[in-house]
Amino acid sequence: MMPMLALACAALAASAPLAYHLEKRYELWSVAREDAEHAALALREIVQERPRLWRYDAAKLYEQLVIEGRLRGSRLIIIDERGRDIPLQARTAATDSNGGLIWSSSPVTANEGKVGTVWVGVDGTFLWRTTATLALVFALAAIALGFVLYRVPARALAMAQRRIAALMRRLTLSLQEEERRRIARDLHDGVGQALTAARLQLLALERGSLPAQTIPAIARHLDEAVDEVRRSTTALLPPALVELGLSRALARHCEAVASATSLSVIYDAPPELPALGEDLEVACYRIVQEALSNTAKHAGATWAAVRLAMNPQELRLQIADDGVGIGEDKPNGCGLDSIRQRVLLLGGTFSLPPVDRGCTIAVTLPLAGGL
Amino acid sequence: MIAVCFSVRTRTHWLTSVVLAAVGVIACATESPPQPTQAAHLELLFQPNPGRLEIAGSGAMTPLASELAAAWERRPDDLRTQVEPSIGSGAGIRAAAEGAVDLGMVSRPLSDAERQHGLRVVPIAIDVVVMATHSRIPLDGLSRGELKSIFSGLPRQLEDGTRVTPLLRDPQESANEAIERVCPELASLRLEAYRAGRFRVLYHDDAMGAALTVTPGALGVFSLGAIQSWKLPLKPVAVDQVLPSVAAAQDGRWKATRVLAFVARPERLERARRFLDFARSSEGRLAIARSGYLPLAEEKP
Repeated sequence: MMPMLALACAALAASAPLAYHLEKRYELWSVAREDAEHAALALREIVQERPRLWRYDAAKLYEQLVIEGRLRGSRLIIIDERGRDIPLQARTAATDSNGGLIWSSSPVTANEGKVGTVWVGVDGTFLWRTTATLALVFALAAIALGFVLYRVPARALAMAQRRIAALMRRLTLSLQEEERRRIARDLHDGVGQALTAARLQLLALERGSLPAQTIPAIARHLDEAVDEVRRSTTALLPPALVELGLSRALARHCEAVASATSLSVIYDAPPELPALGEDLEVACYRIVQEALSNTAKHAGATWAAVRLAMNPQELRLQIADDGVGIGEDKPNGCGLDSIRQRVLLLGGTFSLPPVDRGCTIAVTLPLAGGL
Repeated sequence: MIAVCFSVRTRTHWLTSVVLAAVGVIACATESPPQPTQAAHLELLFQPNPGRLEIAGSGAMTPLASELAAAWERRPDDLRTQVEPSIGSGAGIRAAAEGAVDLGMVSRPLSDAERQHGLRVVPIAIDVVVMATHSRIPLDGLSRGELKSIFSGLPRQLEDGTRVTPLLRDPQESANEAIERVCPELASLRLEAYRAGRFRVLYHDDAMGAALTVTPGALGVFSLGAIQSWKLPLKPVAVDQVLPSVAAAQDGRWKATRVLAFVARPERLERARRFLDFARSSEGRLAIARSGYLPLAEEKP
């Protein structure tokens, strides 16, 4: 943005002085051109009258043009056909210097052809001074404008970025807190209960109040605890993602849901996806997991469909079912808030497009830096 | 994304190039005259015209030279003469130095720079410079104050109702300096009149003679010899009761005079020797006197 803005300001600063300079220069050149043509025409008459001596009468012509105000240029030079300067006696203020003059010429022709060339120079020194002054004024204006155009949005952007960062931190903390609560709940309800039951039974066994036949039951409780611990660790980082990659891991999960429930699950995704980064893949997996879990638990659906598509900028995920849908009183319920927060955390979009029946969740997740 | 970045970068370079190119065009795309070749000293550019003596220069001397040439042509000599229309003293000197003419005519002293050309100067006569008007105008004399008033632009009406119309010669004209010896105030008035564009300015003697003849009430500086030679219907106007004439110039009562001379390269002077001898002979001096000029003493160039 900065180079473009600087270039735009430079163009703004340069354009008006440039336009002024070009226009004025053309104007001065036109004056020189007119004067040269006029002088050449007058000289032609002298050449016709005095073919041999015209060169000696040119000084009087110059004098006449100056006195009669017909020569607006600062300097007039007549060069004969041999390239010799024909001296002109009368002089004007800027005659002794060629610097800053804008020249134009016109040939002097007579019956036998070209006999010389009239050059007229118009003083253009003021032009550079005025252009430089204009350029300075416009440069200052452009710097001021550039400051306003850059600083104001930059400050607003910085404030917005700070707000987003704070929000992200809160979201991250919230998600982590929820994750911790869920793990704690799972450990308490699953592992805790199983270990407590096993402990009580072991104590009873020690006191002899339970027969030795209860040992297999105690082992079952401990197996349940081990299973629960495995599920919890799986919940933290699905091993399938590491082993199979996102697309196949989702396919397996869909199959698992279909086999564990009465849902018919359709999975539509490219068979292979490039590595998208752990955060994005985990988020995607969790969203599908959460959505299918909700469908299985609450929707009363007969089928669910998971569609995954990708373009160079983003990943598109859609989970649809033919269930009862989400009531208007619970737009954030059923784990939807968790999905929304995951999406926002990754800078994506979350929406519930209206459908005739059931529920559809549409999510887009930006690919960091594009592919 | 890569394509977009490339596009922006390319556009930036393109815009920068356009700005730089525009500045370059402005700085460079201007015509300028070629460096002229001008020698430190004037060189011979023209060869003499075989059998013909060519003469050009001061308009004040042109009538005199024409009279002399006419008298010369009546003599049994195969050298012909051709007097060109007025180009002025300065141009006559240059033309003589570059060989464009055999004899240049001057009505003023040569400047230091002009002396560097190595020309030989042959004085021939004295011209009487006058304030001239049409011979039918009822204006015979003016005081210096009246002259000053007229040339400062104040209106002056004559008895017959004609309004006096001042005419000026160009700044290089030697007659200006001559008449300003009679009325010095005219010098500053003349310069002011050029600046203000107050009066009509004439650049050649023939043009001045014509303007004085046809312009009602015209009054301007002119050559008494030219009036007589060209038989113009003009008359000199007395200033402070001194009527300009050859006699008045000769006895010193009228100060506005100028020396008329021929100038020539040394080798061309040899070529013109017979003509110059004639100009300074009794016969030539008589022709000069008949033309209204004051011949100088007889002398070999």
